[in-house]
Amino acid sequence: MIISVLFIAFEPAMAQNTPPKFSVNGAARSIFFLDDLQQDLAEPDTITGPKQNSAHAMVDVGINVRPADNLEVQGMVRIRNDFGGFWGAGVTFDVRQLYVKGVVKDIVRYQLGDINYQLTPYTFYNNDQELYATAPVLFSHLSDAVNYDNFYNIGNSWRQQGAAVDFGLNFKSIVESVDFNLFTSRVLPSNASTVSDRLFSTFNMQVVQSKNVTLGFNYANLYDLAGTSRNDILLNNPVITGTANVNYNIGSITLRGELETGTSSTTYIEATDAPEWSDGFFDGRIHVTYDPVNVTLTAGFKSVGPEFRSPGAQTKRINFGALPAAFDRITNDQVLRPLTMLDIVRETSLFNLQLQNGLMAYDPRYDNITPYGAATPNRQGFHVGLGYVIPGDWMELGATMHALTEVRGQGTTNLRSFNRIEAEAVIHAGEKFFANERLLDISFNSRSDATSRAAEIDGIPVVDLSTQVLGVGIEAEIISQLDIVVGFQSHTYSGFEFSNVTDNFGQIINFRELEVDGSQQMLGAGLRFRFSDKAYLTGQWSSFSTVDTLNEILPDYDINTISMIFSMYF
Amino acid sequence: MMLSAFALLSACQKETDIFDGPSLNDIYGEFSLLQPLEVTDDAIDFAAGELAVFTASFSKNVNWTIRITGNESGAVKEISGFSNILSADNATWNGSTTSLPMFRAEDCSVELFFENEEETYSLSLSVVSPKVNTGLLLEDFEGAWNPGWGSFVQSGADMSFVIKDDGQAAQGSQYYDMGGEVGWDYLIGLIDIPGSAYGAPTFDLSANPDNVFFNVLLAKQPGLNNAIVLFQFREDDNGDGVYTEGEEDMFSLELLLNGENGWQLVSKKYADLVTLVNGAPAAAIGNGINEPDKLFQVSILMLANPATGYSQALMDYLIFTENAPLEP
Repeated sequence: MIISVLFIAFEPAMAQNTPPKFSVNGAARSIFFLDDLQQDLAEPDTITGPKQNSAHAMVDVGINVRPADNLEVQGMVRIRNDFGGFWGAGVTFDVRQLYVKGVVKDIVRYQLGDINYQLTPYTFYNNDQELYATAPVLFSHLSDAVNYDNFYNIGNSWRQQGAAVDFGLNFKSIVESVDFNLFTSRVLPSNASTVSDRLFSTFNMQVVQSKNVTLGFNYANLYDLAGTSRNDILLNNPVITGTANVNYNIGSITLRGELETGTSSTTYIEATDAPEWSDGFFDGRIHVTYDPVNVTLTAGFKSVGPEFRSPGAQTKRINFGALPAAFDRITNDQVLRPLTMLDIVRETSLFNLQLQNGLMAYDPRYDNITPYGAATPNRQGFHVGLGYVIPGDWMELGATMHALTEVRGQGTTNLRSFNRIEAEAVIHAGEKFFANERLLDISFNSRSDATSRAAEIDGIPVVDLSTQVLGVGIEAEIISQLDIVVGFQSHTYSGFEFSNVTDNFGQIINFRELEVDGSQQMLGAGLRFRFSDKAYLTGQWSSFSTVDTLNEILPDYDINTISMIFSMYF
Repeated sequence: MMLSAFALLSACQKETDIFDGPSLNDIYGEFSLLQPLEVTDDAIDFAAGELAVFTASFSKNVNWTIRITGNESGAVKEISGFSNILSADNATWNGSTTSLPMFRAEDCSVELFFENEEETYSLSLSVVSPKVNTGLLLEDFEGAWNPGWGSFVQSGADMSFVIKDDGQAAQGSQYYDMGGEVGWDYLIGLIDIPGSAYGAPTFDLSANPDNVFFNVLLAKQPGLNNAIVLFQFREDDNGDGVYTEGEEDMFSLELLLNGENGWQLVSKKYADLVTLVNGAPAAAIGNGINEPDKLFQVSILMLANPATGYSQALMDYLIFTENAPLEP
């Protein structure tokens, strides 16, 4: 487990030895979508307009000032103009980032304001949204814009507003160094009446014994501050974990062990009907690399208790209770259109910006095994993986299998079983066949998930949900800097599962039947001109289609899209 | 390492006997009666402190209801729960009633039925003697008119201020019928119940007004929505053995019988009684302190708007209870 603290990654000036006193950074983007909706209806939809346009241009202008060697101030403003608004109409100005950071006596680093921060996958970690890992480049251009808008673009950090302090100690013997990292942010402001100030604080200590042994201690707590409102009910959700990373070489074999284990407790003080939860987790894995052929075998075991709650690591990016903005209602009955792959890929407003207590809702069709990332509660089992990098690094192959079960049953003592098989391949054919003078990348990703549970007695439906995700992408440079980009992504799902109905504290109070049998696909192609590594212009056509044989309310439908995207970071 | 071991143990513990959420067996499982419905005693003497305990067991947790119906009185008691077992913990009957009238010494029919299940089960039992309610019973009208009471009845039409025994009583077999038509006045008739009727100038009640409850059973008659029953509570604030009009407290409880027909229980905490003038809250007349131990006289005024014609109300079982309202 790599523990990293990211003060500001989006900062090219940091890499220079003598950073300028004043610099400008930011991003610019323009996106245009023309959507065409085609519904499979016996009677034509005479209410929903079949075509919708949306477009905007925006620029983030950041001013970075260094009045002294050990002091830096950054302010960034976003100017956005939705197309169709003239003379200022539709133009918005937002402050996107403000921070001050520096070093005290060359010992203690600090930062105040907007901070992107992360710890470990069990304490403070912003897990990728559903379908992101398997998306081909053509569609990840859209997802990357969404991630940038929501501050998800700096590793797996969460954008927070608060303060961070780092300092470290170096030793001559036994231990090389000990680093300390403290962080506190304000997650929710008080309304002075019913809502208390909610803070999130972390402490991390990293002990580097040598290049082969690193130990860590982590504390993260989401809590309400007493006295900041008239509400006596106060959340307190501390998580404590320990980590260990060990490297060892035996001849041509490199062994790398990673371990994280810890506990959490969740209490709502003064809430008589609230549960008091405490639970633990263990996650250990070992990587064995045979250096001569660059093959890595990974095997691991994990167990996360059903009552383990870690808001910093379990908060989801996607708010599955949100509705899409494009074609939000369709058919003559103006039925609400649920989220689809297309919406998840491109719609910024569906995403969550702040840490949430409790477990957010999720859609089992997209991920029923790790909906809350590594820290998904009530999971235990093994995983093995095999990775191979062909000499010359022009092809990377990988496969992983997870075999998990629940720790505690839901509605029955029978446990669900979860099985996942993932495979990926990335071929940098340009490196192999064009001496790296032409870009020719081919990517392939697949994930097959299965959830099952036998019925305890006759009459109880058997859980048998299976989902498959497939992504294929091609980037081919036809003339200098001009690429053809093709992408295909497919998501199929079928079977039966129960989804939990919970109370305000997350306790399961009922189950909702979920029977699905459908699929959705996106196929697209386009041209992309790369001005530089940080700027490109692309025109795309894509076709999204969805079929759900069990949905008697919504028809099958397609959305064909023509889009233009200009993106630049500076 | 200790943290690691603890976390590993806590995360990997076998939890085979518990699960989260409601039981799927309860939601989807087939219902059957594993142990039949029984009662521990089918001839119950509630007055002697006996209780009726129902027992049964089912194949799954269900929402169940036991309905006990008095064959003579028509009194109904319902006990409900969600479980797969009926036992003393959840299915004990102390002789109380859910829907008035109150149970008498009578045979009863017991029916057990379930939400979302068609099966019903039944048995019979008999009440040897009904439940006895503790408290200061002013009157249950089972005997003759209390000679210590006073009354006044207007000379209107169809006047009826009498104890009746026609099977409509809320408790026992008799009740008090107040009715008539008075075209010139709200007052149809009144009853004065002095403390002296019970052997002392004031009633034998606790001094704590938060612990004393006044209870009465009243019935609205079908088609009549104009009855107003006003209870007045006169206190001897200065303890001189008399109530001085205009100087000592008189708290009131005004009830409009314009809701559902039939008997209803009215319970009022003594501390919540207020001073009323013409039905509107007003300043206290005396020291303004609700003092049940100084209660000198209870008056019951049968009222109706003279423009609305005939009015009637039935009354039964006037009782002061302590610590809790009457559980009939």
